[in-house]
Amino acid sequence: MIFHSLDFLGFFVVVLSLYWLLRRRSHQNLLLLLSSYFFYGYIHPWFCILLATTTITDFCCARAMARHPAHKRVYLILSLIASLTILGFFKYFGFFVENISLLLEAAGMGSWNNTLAIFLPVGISFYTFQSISYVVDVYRGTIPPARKLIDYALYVSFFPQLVAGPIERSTQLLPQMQQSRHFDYPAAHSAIILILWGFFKKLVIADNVALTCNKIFALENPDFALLWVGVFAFCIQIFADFSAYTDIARGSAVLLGFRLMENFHHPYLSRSPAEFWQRWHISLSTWFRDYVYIPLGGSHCSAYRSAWNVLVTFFLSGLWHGAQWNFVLWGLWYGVLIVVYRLFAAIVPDHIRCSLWCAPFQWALMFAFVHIGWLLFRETDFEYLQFYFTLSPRDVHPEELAKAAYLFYTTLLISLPIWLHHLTGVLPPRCATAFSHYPRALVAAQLVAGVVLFSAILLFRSEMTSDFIYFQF
Amino acid sequence: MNHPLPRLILFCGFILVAPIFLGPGLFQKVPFDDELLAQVRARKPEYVFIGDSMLLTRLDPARFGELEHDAPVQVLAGHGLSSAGWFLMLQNFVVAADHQPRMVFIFFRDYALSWPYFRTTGTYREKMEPYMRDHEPVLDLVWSQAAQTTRSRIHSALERIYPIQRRRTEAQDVLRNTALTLAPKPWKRQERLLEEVNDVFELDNLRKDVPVELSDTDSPEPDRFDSSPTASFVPHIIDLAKKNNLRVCFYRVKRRPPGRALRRDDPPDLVHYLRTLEDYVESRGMVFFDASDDVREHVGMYADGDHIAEEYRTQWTDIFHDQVQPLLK
Repeated sequence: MIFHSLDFLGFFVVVLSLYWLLRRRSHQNLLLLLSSYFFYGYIHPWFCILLATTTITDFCCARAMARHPAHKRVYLILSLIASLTILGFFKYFGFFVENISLLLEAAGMGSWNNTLAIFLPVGISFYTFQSISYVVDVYRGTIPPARKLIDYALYVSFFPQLVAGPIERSTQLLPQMQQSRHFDYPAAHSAIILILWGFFKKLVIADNVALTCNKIFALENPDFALLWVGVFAFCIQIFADFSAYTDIARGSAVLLGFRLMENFHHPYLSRSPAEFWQRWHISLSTWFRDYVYIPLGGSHCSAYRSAWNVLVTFFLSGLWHGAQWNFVLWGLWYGVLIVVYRLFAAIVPDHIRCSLWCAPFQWALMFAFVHIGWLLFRETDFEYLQFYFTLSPRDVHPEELAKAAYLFYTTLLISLPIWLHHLTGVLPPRCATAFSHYPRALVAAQLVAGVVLFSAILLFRSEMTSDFIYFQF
Repeated sequence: MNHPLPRLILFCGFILVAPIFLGPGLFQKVPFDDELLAQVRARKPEYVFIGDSMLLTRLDPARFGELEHDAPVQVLAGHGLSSAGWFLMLQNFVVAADHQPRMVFIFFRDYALSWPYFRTTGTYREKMEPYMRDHEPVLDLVWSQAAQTTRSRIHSALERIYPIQRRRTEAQDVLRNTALTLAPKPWKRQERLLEEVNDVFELDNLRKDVPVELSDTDSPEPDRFDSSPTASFVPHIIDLAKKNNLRVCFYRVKRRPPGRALRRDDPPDLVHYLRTLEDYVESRGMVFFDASDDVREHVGMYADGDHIAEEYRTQWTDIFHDQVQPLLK
């Protein structure tokens, strides 16, 4: 089931109403669990089998770790093998076969024809990582194993964030499953505005900008200006699309009495590659930091080793996004940027690097780097990718520039609300909390915002809508 | 327990209800186009052409009139007008004009005659309303049938509840015009820039691996023509024509051939569908013409998609006249 459908609207209203009519937490959890499986299996019921397999395996392994502490490493490995085998088979089997076949062909040993077409279950990367984080946390002793399967199963399958995150941590979300929830009325107002903002970003910004982006990336021979307008459009599209999902997920969770983590924090205001990853897909970047980068040794080792750890982490992060080499390249691009930036930071004194006058240059440079990254992410065909990097701005005719400028301004106008929202990221914190002292004014402002957003969705939404981009991961 | 749900419902209710009062009046219909009716009455056309952009981008009416010894010609068409609109054109502008033309041509593409709900909501509905009277029993009959899904009923209801959605075209125009104003214009004219941008994305400029035909409908593609009066407007068009002694020709336009091919091969389901449609139309005394085999309409004549380029319209009209001349005698 997708968020921007009438089916979801009906589903959510029914679940929300029943949920708050139930008094006992266990009944509420059971309702949410059944609803989550219904949500997940709505189109393809067999997806639920995989979800249940991962859930039961990891629940049992974690319980076994507590019962047999001497063998907890064995259970950790068993759990990881099970989770990663399912993920690997459904997500990477085709990619693996394709590359082995290419290697065999290159060595003159024939080829391996893959006759197995494997359907990628939506959201598998998200819930697998969430489940792995739980097992590792239990292994480390950060949290005790869940006592009730229903609580744990709900933690893995909680429908608002099941398909595209945020990838929640067991230390944050699982305790919420195990406690009573209370309806927070002021928070519910904010949640509804957050949900509307999410729908606005998806239906108005992402879907409209996607038309320009898809058209440009469908061209056989775009010129330099047109190509980078297309990349700019994709830069807007992917942020609007993905952050929209997160906003709707977080808002829906609040209405059910849960708090999900923030996944985006004005990422396009970043001034360095490391800062970008502290602002973009935060739940994934912190996951890789805690479960890959730090266990590899993090930065508490030699400079070479630390650089290696960064590259390995970003290689895996790229691969997580999809079984395609362009995603790996995209991950490595950020790995290299972070390593180079560290060298730069070691050479340039702090008072220059962190000075106010330097900020616009750093921001502009980082924004350009992000665009190169999005080009690697968007283009899956390496021949076209090579061709794109041969394009030169000197070859652009003024008439072609005018066409690109028109498409650029169209994209910019559609995305204006996102840039205005980004500006709130540079405002002093007291501005953001100004309304909190005047609750009635806050409600009035929320009502106005709600009406404006809903009206804007009705008026400006794209005729053609598509699935959320991160569903494919 | 002081349940918070009613307060939340009130909050949501305000957000959902307020936009109802934005935009044009609630359920207000665009007035009927009396001027067009007066124009048809005054012209007394011998040939009437009904359709959508397939017609508008093909026919040069002045040229057709010339070829028919200066016979008066009337085009009743609109971009995006669907089969419901074609029926309205026939009923409210041809029959209502109290003049009997020699032939009425209805231009259609593939399954367009069997999609009675296609392009009947939102801005399309608004475009169609000038051709509608306040009460249209045939439209009500076809649209109210069970074939319409619950989902489409909800969509239709939402379209009616929130009239602001009718301003979507204007909203898009504002965005486009602002971008045009901001962009540098070496040609000095905004329209030229827009045309040039559209030319960039012509089919010939697209990658070969990109699917060029993105369908803009979820309507099913049947394997045979359903002649029941609730499945399409065709039976109603024929009934109307027979009652008023009109000859209607259902003219299937030739779609853009793929690559350098001379014609597009129809899938078996479409072939069967067209055969059953032809049988139905001709068994009721009307005319069916399929232009898809005519190799004189070559791929070079097409602009974007299935539209014919402006510079080829006279040539196309000559070919069309040649095709239908036996029918006009």
